[in-house]
Amino acid sequence: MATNKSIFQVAIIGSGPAGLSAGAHASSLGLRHILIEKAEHASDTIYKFQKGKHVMATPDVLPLRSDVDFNMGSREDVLDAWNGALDKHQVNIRYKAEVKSVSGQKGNFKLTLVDGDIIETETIVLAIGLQGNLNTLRIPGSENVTHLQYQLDDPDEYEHETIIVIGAGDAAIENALGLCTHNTVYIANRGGEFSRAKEANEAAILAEIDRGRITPLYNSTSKECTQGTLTFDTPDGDVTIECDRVIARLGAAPPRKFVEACGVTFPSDARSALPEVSKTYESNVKGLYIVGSLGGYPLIKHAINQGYEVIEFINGNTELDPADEPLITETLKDIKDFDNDAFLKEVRQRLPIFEELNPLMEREMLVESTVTAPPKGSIIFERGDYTNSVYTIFRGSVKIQTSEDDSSKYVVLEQGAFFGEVGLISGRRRSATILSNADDTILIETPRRTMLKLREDVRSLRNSMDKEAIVRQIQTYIASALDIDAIQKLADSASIESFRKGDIIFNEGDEGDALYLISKGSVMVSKRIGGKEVTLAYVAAGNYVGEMALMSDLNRTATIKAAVDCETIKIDGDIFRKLVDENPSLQKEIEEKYGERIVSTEKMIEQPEAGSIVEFLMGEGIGEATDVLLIDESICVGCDNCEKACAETHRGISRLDREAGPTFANVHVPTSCRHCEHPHCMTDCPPDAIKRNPDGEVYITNDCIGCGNCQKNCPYGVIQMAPEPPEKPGLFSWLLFGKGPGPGEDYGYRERAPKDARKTAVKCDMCKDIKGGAACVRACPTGAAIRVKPAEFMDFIRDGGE
Amino acid sequence: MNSRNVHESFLIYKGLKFFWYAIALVFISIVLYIMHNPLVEPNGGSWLGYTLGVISAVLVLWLTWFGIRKRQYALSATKLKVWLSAHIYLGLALVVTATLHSGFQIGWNIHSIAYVFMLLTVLSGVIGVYIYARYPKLMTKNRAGLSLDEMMGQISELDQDILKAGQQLPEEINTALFNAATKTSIGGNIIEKLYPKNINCPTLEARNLIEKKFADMGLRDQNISKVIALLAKKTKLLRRARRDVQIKVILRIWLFFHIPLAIGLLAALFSHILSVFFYW
Repeated sequence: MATNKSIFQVAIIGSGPAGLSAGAHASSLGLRHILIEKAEHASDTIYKFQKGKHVMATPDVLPLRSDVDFNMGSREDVLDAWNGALDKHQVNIRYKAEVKSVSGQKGNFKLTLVDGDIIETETIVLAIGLQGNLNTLRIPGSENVTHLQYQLDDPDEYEHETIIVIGAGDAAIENALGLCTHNTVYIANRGGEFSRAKEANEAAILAEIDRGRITPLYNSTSKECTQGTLTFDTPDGDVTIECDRVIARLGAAPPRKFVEACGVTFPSDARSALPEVSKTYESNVKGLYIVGSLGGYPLIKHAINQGYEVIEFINGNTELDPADEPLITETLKDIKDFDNDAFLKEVRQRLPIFEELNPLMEREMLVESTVTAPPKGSIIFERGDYTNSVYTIFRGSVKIQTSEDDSSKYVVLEQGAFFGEVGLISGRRRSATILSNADDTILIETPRRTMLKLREDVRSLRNSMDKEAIVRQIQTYIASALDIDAIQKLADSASIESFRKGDIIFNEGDEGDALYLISKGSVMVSKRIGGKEVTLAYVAAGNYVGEMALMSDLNRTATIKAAVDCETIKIDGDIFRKLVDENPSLQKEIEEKYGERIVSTEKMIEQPEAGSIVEFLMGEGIGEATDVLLIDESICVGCDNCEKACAETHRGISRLDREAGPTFANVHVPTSCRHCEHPHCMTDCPPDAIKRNPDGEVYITNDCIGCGNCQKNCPYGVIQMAPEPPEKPGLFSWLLFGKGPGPGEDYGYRERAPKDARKTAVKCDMCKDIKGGAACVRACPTGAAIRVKPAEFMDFIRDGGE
Repeated sequence: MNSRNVHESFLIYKGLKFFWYAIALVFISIVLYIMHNPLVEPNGGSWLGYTLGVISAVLVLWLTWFGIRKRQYALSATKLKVWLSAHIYLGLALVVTATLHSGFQIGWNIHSIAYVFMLLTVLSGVIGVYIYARYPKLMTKNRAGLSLDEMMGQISELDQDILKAGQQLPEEINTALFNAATKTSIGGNIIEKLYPKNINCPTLEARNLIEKKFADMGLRDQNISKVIALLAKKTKLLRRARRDVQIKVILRIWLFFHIPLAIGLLAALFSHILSVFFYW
């Protein structure tokens, strides 16, 4: 390494949690360092959080290893602590400095700043996060006006203003929604719709536009601005609007371009792909280290630890174990014959699906996974469980029971194989019971979210998983009796087809050329009867449709429409027909199903009302539910005991709203969680606080950080953000001593709670911790409230819904 | 839970299970009463009298416990529906056991007060059962898929349209329409909730006024016909909304008799038992 005293030993780019922690540690080790920050202040991302926002310090189990303190608290507390650390450690920080380019190599890097300055350094720590640079409005006049801004900290700061929000993405919509209660708001969109946004945001903005609280400017491009005005180019010609403020939410240029310009490579073109780094956070460019969310660690605590560690590595401490080493040790506590490093190495050698994981991804996967050594004969999971983690066989083998009743029928999977992916894809119950088949079996159980993320990032993993899933699903749901070669033949002819809610999979009268196995979502079957389209059935994931036309010479006898977003495995009709002809047992199975369908179709045709109820329920999203609360209005006396019971058993907050929600005939669907197969609320939960129990309940753990994403993502409006309720007096002290509020009584604490009280998300957990099942159903005095599972829907409709 | 997961009313729970229990209790009591041959005329002091008395007292205590059980939301033992089903049928059986316990000796004393309270409580309960069995269906029919909030929303939208259409019309109409939009109420005090037809309704007044005095203008002024149509729509919605409120009150009001009567019964029963033992 060069010993030139005038060049820095380390230049840290970005002063977020990772950069800040690196700077503080470099300073306390006495390294010649510089911390480069683009903004006027440190930690710009957190600085831009809404005022008072609660910042969480998860994961709790991970020890903090840094010169910088970090505890859970408000945005202000956290920033104060960090600014204090910068002063205390006399970090050499340079504000308003943006790096334009990086050249040179280890020992002699040159950073060129936007203002032309050049910084020379031996090593670089890239801690720029994923936020990127905000795109700005580049139109005539935009440089000279003061009413133009690119973000919004606190929508409540503005009142009685005319504000134009530019953009059609989530940020623009959320800003417009936040502002529209106290201001006159326009939203300018270059296109004609808001389809790019999250569904919930799209629905919310369209509703506000409908109510006239937000004025949309569609197909409008901003053209020029002067102080207090903005001119748009619209289909009706130029339109100039006078306004107090323009908020342009034009997205951000992802930092990838800059990172690639530094010479760093990415493993794939996926939007979420991150650069690969070594165990010491060094990228493929020697001397250039990547830490924080850009290195795949989005949580603040991870980033802070990495800032410390990377400086240790740069300072020559190669022996330092990563902070998550104790966590890996914990994961591997039951594994006696491998030490951590050996196990990590073997994972990639023994398990083909993990072959392409980088070391960091692998560590993260292992920290979040469970590694077990189940002795021969012990059950790993049972048919009917709702768990959807994926298992990989590190050593030994497992036995899959292919028949429910006959335990002598099974398939063995050996080391290197994986299982459980069908549940991951379909979101439904486990389709078979699986047991350990050897005493030295070691299994890695990886949770749903981790697996989905890996599936997104690592193409080879995705491909082999999808391929295997097709084979397994054909085996499980269509042709359990066939030998593997025949199944393979079917699988080779198969392709995965996706349908959006409402799409037609095939029409009545079409020629039947394929069989569709529904792997995700559910479909509705309908038929034209007397000139009217009558819904006949709901078919859930794990079933197939289209066999009728294949088994007979008729054309399609019914129309199949996606009830929710669906994924199907399309199997070629000719190959399927040939196989059926060759296999009498398969033929019998298919014919039985065919017979059942014809009978149930006839039953439904006799009850056109029932068809309308199916259609109504599907329209309400029951097609993706796993358990839904239905109220028979002709028995319901409106006592609200269900709501009271819910509130009483869930710390004062009812998670259902009986009266809200639609009604058809006498079936009422109250606003209450349906525990979706693929929960929308889970899609974007930063602390991964939303979980699913083996019995199917989707619930929120105490890790909730109150970000509100789940509330926005739920299309059924069943999640609320609520402050912590105070204790209530017991039943008898209310009854005998009049201590209020009484059982089931609302005590209005939500209205009285301080405005900045910490709120977390609450939703129905189907009373998973209460013996006896859902309190709402148990507390119904008249039997009007019941919970129904998808398998029971058709029975419910035929027997109870008339 | 039922094997078939469908809606099953508390009245027909498990093939009238508790109805048959109640019938059995009543039947056994009557048979014993007929076979029993006390020294004097039948009364509460004989062995059968005590037995029936104890059974009745236990029943009363158990029946009133329903109020507590209803609020023990976290208790997992049995569904409330099962309790209600038993509460109703065994409550009816109480009339027979308590009557037989009295040996038909009714007079002006503390003992008969308990008996009368019992009868009144059961009677109010029977009314409650009738209401629970009848009104939810009427409510569903009246709502036809709209909640009260949605009806109110539609009414206020109609108000906007009515006011808009009425702007150019004569002052008299305008005032009436304004009153209809701002002073029309749904609900109000308990009497108004129960008898919505007696409500002084500005919307109805406006409608009558226009239909009687100005309907002939409809040919010349389209706004008149529009207002008439909208007012008709609004009156219909108002009727439904008021009916909804009315049914909600009916579903609740009987409890305001049933519960105080039950508490009265408890007090009277306590006095009855106390007096029997202290003033032997």
